[in-house]
Amino acid sequence: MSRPTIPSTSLVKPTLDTRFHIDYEWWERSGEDLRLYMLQHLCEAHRQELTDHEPQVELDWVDPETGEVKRVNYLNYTLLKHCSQQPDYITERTSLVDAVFRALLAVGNRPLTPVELAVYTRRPAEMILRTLSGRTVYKGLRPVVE
Amino acid sequence: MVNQFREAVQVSQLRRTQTEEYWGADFQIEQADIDHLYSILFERETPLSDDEMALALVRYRVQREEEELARRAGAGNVYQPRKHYEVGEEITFPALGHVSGKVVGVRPGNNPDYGHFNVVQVEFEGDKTLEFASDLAVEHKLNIDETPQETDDQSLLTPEEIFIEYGGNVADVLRKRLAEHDDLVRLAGKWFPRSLLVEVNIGHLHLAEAVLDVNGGGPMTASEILEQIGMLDNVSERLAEFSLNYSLQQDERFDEVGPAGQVLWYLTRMEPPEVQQTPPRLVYTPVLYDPSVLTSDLRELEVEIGDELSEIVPQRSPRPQSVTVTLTYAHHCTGTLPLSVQLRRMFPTAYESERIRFTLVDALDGEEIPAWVVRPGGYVYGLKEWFKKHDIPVGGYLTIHRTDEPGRVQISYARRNPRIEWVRTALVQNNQLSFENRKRAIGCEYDDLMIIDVADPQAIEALWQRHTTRATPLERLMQECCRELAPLNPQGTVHAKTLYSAINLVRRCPPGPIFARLVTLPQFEHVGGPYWRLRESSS
Repeated sequence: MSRPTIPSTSLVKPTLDTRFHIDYEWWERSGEDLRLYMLQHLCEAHRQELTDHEPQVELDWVDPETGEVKRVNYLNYTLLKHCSQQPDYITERTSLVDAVFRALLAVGNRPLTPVELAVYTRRPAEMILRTLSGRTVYKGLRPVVE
Repeated sequence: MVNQFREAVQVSQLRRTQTEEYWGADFQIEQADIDHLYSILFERETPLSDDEMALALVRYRVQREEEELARRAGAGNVYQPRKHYEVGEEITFPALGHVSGKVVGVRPGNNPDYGHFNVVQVEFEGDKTLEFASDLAVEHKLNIDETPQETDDQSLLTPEEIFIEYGGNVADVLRKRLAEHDDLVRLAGKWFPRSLLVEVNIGHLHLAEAVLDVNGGGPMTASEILEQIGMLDNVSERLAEFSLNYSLQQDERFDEVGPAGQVLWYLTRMEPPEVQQTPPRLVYTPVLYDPSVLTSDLRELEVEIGDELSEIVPQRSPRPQSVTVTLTYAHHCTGTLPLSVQLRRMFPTAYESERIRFTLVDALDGEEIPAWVVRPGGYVYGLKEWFKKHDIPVGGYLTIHRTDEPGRVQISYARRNPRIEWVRTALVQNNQLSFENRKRAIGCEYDDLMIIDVADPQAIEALWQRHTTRATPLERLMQECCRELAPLNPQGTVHAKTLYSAINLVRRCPPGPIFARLVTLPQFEHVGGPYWRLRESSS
């Protein structure tokens, strides 16, 4: 299935100060398998464990920056609590799109600017902005409409 | 890795602008910074240097942080996850930009990792509801004392002190970011909005050309040109100067020849041809060689000679007050000095200008010599008459002295009472170089190993042309020179420096390739120290 293009709802060109997030509605409309993609971002041990069986529970996760509480499924919680803490979670071999996706997962999908994403992904902010502000939406990574 | 990231983007209660990390490798320019700097440029209508812009940015960031801290200190009922909240309470959230919301609901939290805690639903303006942790016993960075540390103001660095410590990196990052803005122009290290430039039309430029022409081509400042053509009367002097400088820079008729920090203009067509193009005598056709074969003695000789073509790593040391060099034949006949690693620091330099017009002053009689630093060619031009005036020999010692006046450098030679001496003299016989000792009056101290007098400069020039046209291999020239130089030495040997000096009579070549061939080619026999002999079978 070809990747759907979601019309831009903003006529303003994104800048280095524009905040981006994972748009889960995009995933619902796209027909792509979000769970399958999320499994790829787990560490090896948890990927095997959760591929076989994922407990169907929702847990409260407290954002360490803001104190906001989000209800997340077990897969998300495992990633937040363990896999995103591993040294090889984001490396130089991680593609830019995957690196940005992982960075946003690690902060509970709190919107971040390309400048903030650059610190976590160790990629230039300008490169991140160019990639995310094109016509094609990659893995639901979209600017937040404010 | 997540914790590193969290530390990098944490909403901190501390004065981060007081820390090295804030201004370090991860320092980034934000749009708000650019907006602020633009407003300063528009308000002052004055070009600002990289450092002035960087200082303004530091002041802005420090002030912004102080305002943020003051706002937090004044906010009531600041949210902290450890606190208990009831329905109806108003809470302020610093981490969300100090928005306030009202608690509209409370429920138990669900996560064994946190122990017992509650979750409050908070309604914000626009009917948006978010959930936040409360009664949270585990560690959370927001569970710290809200009040900024009571610090003695004297222990805080001022923005100026911060700039002195970390301003270098800020200026570098800022320069790169500003270069992306087409609506800013940069000239002689200063920035200015393009839209504020005063119009300078083609008529003004024609007048500027005429002014420079009647003034010998230059150099003149924009201010001096404006004074003579009487234009742009209704604008500030600095704005008029910057606007004219910018327009002159866009026109090929005008060459910017000022040292760093100063803008001077010269008519390109009136510059000496030797400044526009490297004199043929100084042109070097690179010769391949392996630098690693040079012994430490030969590398020392290479540094001592100070050829501008030698690849020598500059040593970190304070700029000397004076530097002494030995004049070689190529520079002797073109009236130039090498911009070697040693000499480069003694002459004016520039951010971007390729040619810099300055004044050399004869230390002996105060004569002012118009001179040029030609950066692409690696030489200083303008000394032909001065070499002739003082009869400086090839191999003579010259000393360059710094002065306190920008754009002026003093030159002297190792003057002494003239003495008749036996001097190594180059001749041309049967289209080959030969050497013999001849008597000559020398009024200058010289390097005995480098001195070579030329009996017939025209014959040497013809031989140089011949070798250039025929592309005579360096090895062959070295053999010929060694053969002819050896008889002048009782031991029949040739010093490496003497060979270098001789080769450069008929071919421009730095010491490296010559020395490397002495070491590696079988026809040259090393007899000790820097002395070589041509093997008899090669003679």
